[in-house]
Amino acid sequence: MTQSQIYITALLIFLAVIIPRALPFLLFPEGKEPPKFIKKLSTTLPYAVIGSLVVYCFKDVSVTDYPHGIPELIALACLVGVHIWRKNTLISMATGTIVYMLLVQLVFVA
Amino acid sequence: MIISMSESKVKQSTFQRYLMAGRAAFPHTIPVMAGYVFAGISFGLLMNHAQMPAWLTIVMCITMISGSSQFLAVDLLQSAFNPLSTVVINLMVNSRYSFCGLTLLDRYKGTGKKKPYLIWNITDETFVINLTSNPPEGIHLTDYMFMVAFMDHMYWIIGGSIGALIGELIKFNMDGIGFAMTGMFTCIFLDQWGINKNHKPAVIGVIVAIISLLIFGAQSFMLPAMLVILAILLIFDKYVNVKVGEEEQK
Repeated sequence: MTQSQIYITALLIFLAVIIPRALPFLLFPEGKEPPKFIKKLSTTLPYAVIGSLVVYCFKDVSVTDYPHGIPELIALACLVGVHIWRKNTLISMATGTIVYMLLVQLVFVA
Repeated sequence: MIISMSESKVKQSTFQRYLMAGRAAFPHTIPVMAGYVFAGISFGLLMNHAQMPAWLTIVMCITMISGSSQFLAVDLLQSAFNPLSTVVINLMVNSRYSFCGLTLLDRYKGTGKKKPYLIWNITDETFVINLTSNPPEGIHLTDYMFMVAFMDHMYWIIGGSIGALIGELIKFNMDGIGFAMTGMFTCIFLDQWGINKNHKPAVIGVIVAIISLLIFGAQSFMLPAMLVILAILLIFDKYVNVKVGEEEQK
């Protein structure tokens, strides 16, 4: 790629990043009454989207290849356990992350 | 004199308003800081290896604010020039943010001048925090959500800049730090599970995403998953929603 082609590519990526984010707000502006189905979705869609994002976090885990998702499973179990026990996001998250880092760096070394 | 004094008072109070909002928002963004700074450093390093100038790395972090698109961009910038496929691939990768936006329509209503910035800064992490957390009393929701978006944005820029400028000097083994964001999403999911007695939407989200992942693979499962989720929630609206009312009455 030439210098200018690099900049054009970067500019196109920028546009392709912005447009999907702006689209719903352009389609359903504040002034107008949004269609009924949008209101119905507001009580269900957020929870479903968060659920799918949790799955998204584990998308690169392979059950068939070493280490078979075991570090993820152990770290997740620790995180959920601590979260139910202490109900503090930061403590749960730090526990899960430290456990996971130790596992992938020291125990399950590829 | 009097005018300038009152002006400075107004300025100070505006500054203090944001400071208060920032203080309230900061704890919620700590997991994002861990994730973004280190992901940003990795991005900066990749851009260095691809022989891209540091300023482009930093400008991309400032303007795009999208990990998936930027990591993809490193590949695209090194391949043959193909504007059409660049646009199509990136629209696909970012299409799920339309669903995030759809979900945020209500929350971002009435945010006025800050709305474009909030929309521009929709990432998975900022989306979840701004959707689920609320400021303590006395702090305006708009200021609070703005500060969440702003701090997350800064973490990403700082990470990218460190990676691009001094990334080669870092010797600390960061493998696994990405679990910070997995952990944040999981905690928020658990909190939502506790608050909302209607678990059907959450279960639908998880199951549809898993099935879609098995069918379409890690690279392209989110768009079909989001479309199916949307279809199920709309078509089986009564089934998914009616139970909420019943459970609330109990």
